[in-house]
Amino acid sequence: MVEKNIQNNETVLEVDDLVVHYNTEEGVAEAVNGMSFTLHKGETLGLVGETGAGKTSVALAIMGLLPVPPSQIIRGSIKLNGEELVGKKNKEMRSIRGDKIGMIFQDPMTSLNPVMSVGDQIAEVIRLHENISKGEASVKAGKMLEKVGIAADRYKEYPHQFSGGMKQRVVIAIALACNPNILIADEPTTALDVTIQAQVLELINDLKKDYGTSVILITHDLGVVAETCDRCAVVYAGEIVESGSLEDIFLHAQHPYTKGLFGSIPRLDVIVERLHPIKGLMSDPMTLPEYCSFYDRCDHACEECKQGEPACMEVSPGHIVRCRLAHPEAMKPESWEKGQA
Amino acid sequence: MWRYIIKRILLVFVVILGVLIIIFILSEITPGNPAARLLGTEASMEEIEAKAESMGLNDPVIVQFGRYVFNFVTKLDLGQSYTTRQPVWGELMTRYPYTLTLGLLATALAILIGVPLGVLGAIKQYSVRDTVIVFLALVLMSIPNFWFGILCINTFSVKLKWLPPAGTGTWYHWIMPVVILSLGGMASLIRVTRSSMLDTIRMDYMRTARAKGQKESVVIIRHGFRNALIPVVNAISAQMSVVIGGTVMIESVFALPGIGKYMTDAVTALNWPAVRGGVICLAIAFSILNLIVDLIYVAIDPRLISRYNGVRGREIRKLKKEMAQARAAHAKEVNG
Repeated sequence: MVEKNIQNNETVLEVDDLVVHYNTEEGVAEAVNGMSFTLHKGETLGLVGETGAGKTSVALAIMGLLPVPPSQIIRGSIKLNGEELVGKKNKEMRSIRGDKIGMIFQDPMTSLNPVMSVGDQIAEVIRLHENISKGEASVKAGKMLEKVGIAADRYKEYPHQFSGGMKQRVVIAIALACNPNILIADEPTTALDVTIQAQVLELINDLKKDYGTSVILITHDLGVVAETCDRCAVVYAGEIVESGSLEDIFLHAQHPYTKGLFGSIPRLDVIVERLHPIKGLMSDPMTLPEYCSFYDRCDHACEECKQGEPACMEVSPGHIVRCRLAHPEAMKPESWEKGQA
Repeated sequence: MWRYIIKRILLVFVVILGVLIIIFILSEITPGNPAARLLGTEASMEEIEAKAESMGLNDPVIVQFGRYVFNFVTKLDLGQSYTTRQPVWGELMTRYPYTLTLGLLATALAILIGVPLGVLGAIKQYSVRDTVIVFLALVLMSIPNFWFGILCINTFSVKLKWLPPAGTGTWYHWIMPVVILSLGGMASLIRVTRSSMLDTIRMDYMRTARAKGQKESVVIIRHGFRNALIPVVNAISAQMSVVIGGTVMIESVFALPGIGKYMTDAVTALNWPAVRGGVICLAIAFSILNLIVDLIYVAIDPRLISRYNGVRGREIRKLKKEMAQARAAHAKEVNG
């Protein structure tokens, strides 16, 4: 695990009570339901959750890239260095995208334009945000290529001449070319094989240190979180159900969902006959209940859980759990006590 | 890159040779004695026989074919027209400009209107604008152009007297034939461009471009449109054959003295040398246009070239260089 990065507490990004809905013909999909988190300078925050939990919607909301329509930011605020991003005009967002916030996408195979040389694709973002000539931008783009471990003389080559891992390096170079405050990496390693995953994560980590960039790492791989993040937030049905330091989440998980996640991955140090998957399926974002959205799948669900949305509890400094049972004085079912023992 | 281009140019000759063979066989198996047709109904059997001998019609087919190709390549001699007794080549050349002008103008018009409309429809899918464009394409596609041609002549020439009904002379004469000939191609280009743009608009690299902070219009043109062009260029080249075929019909309707009109007249008069020559000329024109389109392809899509050259060539050269360097370093170490 990476040592905690507490010495620097300057807040770069503050997301507060963000709600994003998708208005579709079948109904309203509640993708993000009141997510709040902060990102400090030089910190890596992991957003972990299943497919469809709303992780990418948050990322796109921060980038101002949510497709409108069908999506809509209902309420909440996103503050970048104290500057409100929600409700900003498209033109203003354009000067922020690529410059202050860079983004890496899931599938490097399709995130690069196949008919444009990789160098030109990097130079494009530099030219957009820095007032320099075409020649200077290409020199800078070449340097960026070197920085992500690709020889600068491959500037004129096209994406199809690169492997998947190399393409992802190019995408990283594009995202970091203008030295952004924040790098959003949306499942950057999901489409890559394991050895390349490690290389790419290492590269992101190294560059992050060089540039002092804060990183939001979106993933469903707890192993990736353990390796690269300082803090971690577990996302379920558009809500952050538990967040805290790596230690809080990996060693002292409180929320039944987080526990379920750990119960469903194989471990090297313990011999288990059978893995324990979380029962049921992810709640349908079209029909989220009034109460805790994990209720139907929770092993410890009881009548009290149906009384409205669970409140957030800070169980230890920085460790926040969104579960009624995390409250020390809450009525707890038998199953909970057993689980704690 | 050059390897691809040379290969592609050689292919043109192969195609033209293939067309020659097919056309030659077809005219060979059609009944009728060319010598008799040349001399007319009043010639005697002896005269016909002598003419046939002098034309070499009694030689084996393969020899005749060789002579036909040889005469065409060396002397541009495609034989004599049965009806006018003039060399076919000369007759074709006076008509060629009309067909080419008609075909190229119609294709250009189809591209200039069809492609932008397709893009405009795609960037706002299911909007009112998009629906109107799709409906327009459907209507244009369903109109038979000979019927529409006659309808237009009736409206604009006979009733309103705005445009001349037929013939050539001024640029007014071209308006109706060009517009009517372009409609079918326009419709299919609208549809192809729209669906191709819809595909590319959803691609991840469009999102990457937006994430760079690029303007939406630039994202659509530089990143979307260039990628969407690949199937569109394909459709344009396919459309050209339809347009060239369409000139036959349009030239008849508007009495334009082009190759199409020449060939329809030749077919009704069983004038085989003229039909043969016309088909060959159209085949050559079509092959060259397709060649140009294929070269444009290469300029648009860099992936095509590597299919011919391969990245492997480059990698192998690089590897060989590295191995040579390693060997040299090793030798140095051993010797030093």
